[in-house]
Amino acid sequence: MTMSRSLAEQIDFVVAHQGRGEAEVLAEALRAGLASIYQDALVQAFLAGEVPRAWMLDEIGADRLREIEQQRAAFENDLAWGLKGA
Amino acid sequence: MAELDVRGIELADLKAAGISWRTFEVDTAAIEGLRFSAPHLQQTDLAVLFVAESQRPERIMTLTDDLALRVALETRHLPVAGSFGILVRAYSEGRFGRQELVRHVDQLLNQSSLHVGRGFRAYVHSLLQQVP
Repeated sequence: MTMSRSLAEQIDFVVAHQGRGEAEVLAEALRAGLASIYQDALVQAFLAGEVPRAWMLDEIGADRLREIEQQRAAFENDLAWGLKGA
Repeated sequence: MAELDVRGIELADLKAAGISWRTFEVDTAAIEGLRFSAPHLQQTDLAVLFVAESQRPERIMTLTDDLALRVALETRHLPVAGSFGILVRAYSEGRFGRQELVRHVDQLLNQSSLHVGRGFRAYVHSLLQQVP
C-alpha cells in the first residue's frame, strides 16, 4: 500500500483524529514496522536453512508456517515443472 | 471470460497465441458440494476445482497463483502450475534468455498478487541460480 501523504502528515493525522500523543504513535509505528521486518527476515533465514523449524513455529505460529511451507513447495514444484520443457 | 475482459484479452488474442479454449457450465449445487472439503476457497476457485475434477481421467493443467486453490488441486493429485513455472518453462523452451527470466520473475514478485515478501524474493532468486 502506498500513501500519498508524507510520514509527518500521517502522524499529524493520527494525532489529530485519535487524540494520541506523537511519541505514543511513533512507538507503536516502530513496533509494528519492526515486527513486519523481523518476520520477513525470519522467513528469509528459514528458507535459507539458517533457522530451525521449531524456532519458526514458536515465533510465527503453525498457520503462518504452514503457509510459508506451502508457498515454498509451490515455487519448487513450479521450477521442476518449468524445467521439464528443457 | 470475465477475467479475460478485465485484462483486455480477447478470444482472438488467444487464438493468435495458439491457445484453444473450452467453456464449462458449472452447477452451483456441485460447487457447494466441494465447499465442505475446501472451505477456504472462494466461489470462483471452487468452480475451477470442480472443472478440474470433472475432467478426470483427463488431467487438465490448472494455472493459478492462488495458494489455497493450488493446495486443493495438489491434494487431489490434479496438475497445477503458477506464473513462476510458466516463466521458467518459457525460458526452458528458449523463448527468452536468463536475464529476461530474472527480470520477468522480479516483475512477477513485485507487481503480482503473489504477496511474497523480501524473504521469499531472496529464496526465489536462489532457485533461479539452479536453472541451467
